[in-house]
Amino acid sequence: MQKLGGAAIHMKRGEAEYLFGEKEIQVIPMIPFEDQVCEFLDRLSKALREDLEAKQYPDIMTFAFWIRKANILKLKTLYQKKEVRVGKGLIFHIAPSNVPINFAYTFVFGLLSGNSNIVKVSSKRFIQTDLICKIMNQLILEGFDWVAKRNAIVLYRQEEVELTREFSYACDGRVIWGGDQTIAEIRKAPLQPRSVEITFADRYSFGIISAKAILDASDKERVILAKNFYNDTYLMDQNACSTPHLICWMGTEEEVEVAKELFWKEVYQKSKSYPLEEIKASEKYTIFCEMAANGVLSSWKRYDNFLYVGQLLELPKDICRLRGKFGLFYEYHLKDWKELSGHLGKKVQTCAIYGIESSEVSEWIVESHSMGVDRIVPFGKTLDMGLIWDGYDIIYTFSRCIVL
Amino acid sequence: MIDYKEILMIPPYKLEKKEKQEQMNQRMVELVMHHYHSCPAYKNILDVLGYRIEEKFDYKQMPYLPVRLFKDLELKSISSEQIFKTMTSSGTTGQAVSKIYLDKETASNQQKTLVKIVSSFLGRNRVPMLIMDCPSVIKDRNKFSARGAGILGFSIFASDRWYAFTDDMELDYSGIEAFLEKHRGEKILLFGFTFMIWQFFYKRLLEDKKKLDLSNAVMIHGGGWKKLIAESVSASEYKEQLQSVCGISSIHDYYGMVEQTGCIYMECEYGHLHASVFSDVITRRAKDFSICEYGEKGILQVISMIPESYPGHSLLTEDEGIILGEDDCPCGRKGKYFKVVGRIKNAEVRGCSDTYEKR
Repeated sequence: MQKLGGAAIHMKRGEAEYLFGEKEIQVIPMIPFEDQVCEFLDRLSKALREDLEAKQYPDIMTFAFWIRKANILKLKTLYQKKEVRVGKGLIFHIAPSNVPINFAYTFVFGLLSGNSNIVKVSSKRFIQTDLICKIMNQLILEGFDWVAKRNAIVLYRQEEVELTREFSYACDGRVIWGGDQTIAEIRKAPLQPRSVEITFADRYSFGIISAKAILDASDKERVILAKNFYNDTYLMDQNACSTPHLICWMGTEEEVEVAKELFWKEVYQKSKSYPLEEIKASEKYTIFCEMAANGVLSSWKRYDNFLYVGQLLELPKDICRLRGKFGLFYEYHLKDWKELSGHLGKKVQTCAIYGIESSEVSEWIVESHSMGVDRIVPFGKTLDMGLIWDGYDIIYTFSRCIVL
Repeated sequence: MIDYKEILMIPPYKLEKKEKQEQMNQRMVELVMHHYHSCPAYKNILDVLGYRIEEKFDYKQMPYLPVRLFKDLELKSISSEQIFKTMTSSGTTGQAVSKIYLDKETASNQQKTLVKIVSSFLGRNRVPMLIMDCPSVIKDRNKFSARGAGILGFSIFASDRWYAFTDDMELDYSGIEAFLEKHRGEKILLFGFTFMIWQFFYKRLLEDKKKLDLSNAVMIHGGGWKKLIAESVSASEYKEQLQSVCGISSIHDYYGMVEQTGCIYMECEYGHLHASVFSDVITRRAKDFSICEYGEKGILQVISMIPESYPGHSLLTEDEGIILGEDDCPCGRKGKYFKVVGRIKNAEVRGCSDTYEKR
């Protein structure tokens, strides 16, 4: 029996439950953004947005909005190249166990790149998974039976390594969403010689704010920034890979002092709407004390228990240690870009920015030969999904190019 | 520093609020100072929190460490050579366990405090003790688990001992009956863990349709209600059911933790847990850790006057409780009395990292 929240599952050993699709999968490679795929996604988008139950899940609605026709066609234009591309064949996805909706995104990535797919969803059994599968099953009768013939959404326990081995050996590409341990486990199942793999591992993200931009901003702009920051962080309990934990301030001493006050005060106002259960308050305080005990911090700013900000004495060699939860952040006054040198390792994913040009950051990353940072986005956009993720172009990775 | 031995002279439930607070304040100022200068990690935390050690403070304002910190860090205010024994909490396999470092002084004060508290319920004389556990639980003396430590701690009250369960957790009927026969007419102490008594004693007696005569016994049990709440067994039902199978009427729960061994909170005849003069409880609100009103549910902070070898004198627990009153429990004991509501709930945490489901 599984612990960790979800309902217990009763399954025969060695068998997967097919939430969508069947055991026999037709592998029919298509060109990326094939019309019938776009048509299916648009239909699914509408069906989800019309479903009363699905409507209650903001994550399903965000997903439904993302796969709507206008957005998919916009993405398609980014891939209008002269070269001929076609899907690799069959993609095996291992979806994460703690973000219900990600299975749907990874599935769509596989479809859009022109492939058949097997998606293993978390055995924790989320309502969102069941809902989306239910609606996809209803669409079969509307002429989308081909989707069910070429794709499968499966549910089985991680311990059923035989199934993972079988799917891994059958596929032409594998996607693993998970922590280091999961990836190591899954990788014990070999791929065919020509198959490719993408791993979306644990990452770390941070932000840079120009103090001057905060001072120059209007009250209204600061409220918007705080809301964006809240969405980037509190909304996912600060557990998403692209959630910033560390805020680096740029500017003069005086600017930074005032800007910090203004910024955090606004974030605090917004954070009051955060559901702060006892367990979160307790865990946050524990992490904070642990950091303090280790001598990483000089002081803290505390706004009730909704927001803790720890001031760093210096940037630790490995900034990925600086993790917060439930509204616990670290801040540092960055006097010079050079100070970041050697701190941006390959675990670092997103750099969120405010009042700073993204090109300024990217130039510095190239110049300093950093191994990390795959994304530079404004605050409010850190959780946005894209076809380029963790430095991979998913469409290109899961399709092959025919040279003419 | 005031010698803890002097504090030990005070009867456990006699001091009224004002005197107790004075006593607390004096001892806590000293303990905070002592740990600040002896435990670098504790000093770091207080510095970052912004506590001014040199300023006089009321003990209610002193810092509290989250109890889980003892799982993540090695916190001690003594040198490694001074460690007399290390106690660990009974975490489930794979989970981190608390490590509590004791020197001779603190270990002895824990034991003496326990004696003071418990003998005010049991009487001064040693009594035959029927241990509601199996003999193997204390075999490994080097690695004290909470279960083993509890049994050993309470063994000081025993004039004679018998383990009620065999190592494969069967009820040792013939052994128990012989023990009861040997001590016919004497007051007997039954000691064990709340859930284990229910699972391996009560349920087994019920199943085997056996009855024992323990009407002359006092039962002291602790360890928490988590598993019993899951089985929907209330405190009153627990008592009633046990009485029905063995006639026992004097049953006392206690609340305590390995991080503050010695300072246990005993349940009185009215079903209230009591803070003794050696300890105190405060309930705090999740939103800002401000102090709750009496009657308001909050996160429990526990304060013990004992710990000198490790900075465990003031801890924020992961339990929720309600302080019911102070100095006015109908049982006549002074000090705060309260009830524990349970563990703070495990929130469903959102995020996108791990797909590996640990069991």
